Amino acid sequence: MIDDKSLNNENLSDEKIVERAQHALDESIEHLDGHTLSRLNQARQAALSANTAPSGDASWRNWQVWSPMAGACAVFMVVVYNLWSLPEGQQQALLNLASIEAIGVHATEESTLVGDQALIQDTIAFEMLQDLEFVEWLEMEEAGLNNEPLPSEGLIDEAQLDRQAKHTYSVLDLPEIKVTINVS
Amino acid sequence: MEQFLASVEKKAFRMAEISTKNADDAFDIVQDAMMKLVQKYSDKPRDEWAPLFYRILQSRITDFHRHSSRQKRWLGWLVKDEESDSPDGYLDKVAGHQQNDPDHLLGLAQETTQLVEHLKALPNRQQQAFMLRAWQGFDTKETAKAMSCSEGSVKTHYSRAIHKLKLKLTEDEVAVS
Repeated sequence: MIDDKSLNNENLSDEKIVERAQHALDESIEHLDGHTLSRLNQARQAALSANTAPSGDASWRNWQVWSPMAGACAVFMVVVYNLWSLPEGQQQALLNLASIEAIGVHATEESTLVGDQALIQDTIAFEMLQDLEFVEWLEMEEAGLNNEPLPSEGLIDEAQLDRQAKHTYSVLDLPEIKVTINVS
Repeated sequence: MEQFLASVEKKAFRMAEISTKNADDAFDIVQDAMMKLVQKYSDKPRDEWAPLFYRILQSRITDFHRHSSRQKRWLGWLVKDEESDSPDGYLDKVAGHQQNDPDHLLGLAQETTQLVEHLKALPNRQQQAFMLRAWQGFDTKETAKAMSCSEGSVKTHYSRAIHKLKLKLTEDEVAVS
């Protein structure tokens, strides 16, 4: 109710105004509809439930936050341990694989480019191998070692051909490939 | 605590609604005030809950008006002020939830409607002082605490609110006669 002391300072007209205002405002909340009352009830329950949660609420929330991080750390530790315990070659292979995956599309494009270059080089080497006798002869000619006629000019025995092929591989720095030539 | 909140929620809602002129904003403000009271002050003595609750409520209402005035200052030229076009717009909004309730329509007297309209027209601080003192029943000291101002300011706001309401109601009576 209104403080008596404060009302004593007001004249009668002011008191009537206050009474009318009280009546009007009381009236306005007497007839609140169901929807409004329901929303107020929900607001009240929400406020109370925020407080009536168990006292360990904060620690529970902390647990919810920290548990995924702890799990992620545990997984990371296991991965590091396993990686550490692998032989050095496998470690390097895994790390290379990881770095390639991390680089992503760029790495894929790079590796594709490298693969293409390798294919081109392979093609050149393959073409050279197809005319191996000529290449061999050319190399020996340039080195001044050639005192033999061109392979097509005379007969060649297999041992000599094999020796020349080995020399060619070593000059061209190519891996040694066993080539069998059938001379009919 | 639940009993206390149930006892103040309707008044709090109406105060916030009259001040914000929007039911949704009023709900938000009331819920916010309830939550703050429960979370921060539920361990306080029961007789302190009402002043604390209304202090939080008035603080939230003041924040709302500050925010609104900032928005109006910066975005006012973009948004058409519908209420300025329709002086009765607010009453329609207030009655919005209740228009389909025949009991409410029967019970809501013309005088009530006019008084709520006049209250709405008061400046925010005068509204607060008047409703806390005249409706909630706080004395000057409690009202000053709830409004976070001096008792002298409360007396000034309250006196001006009474004066303006008196003028408006007198005008209404003259218009009717």
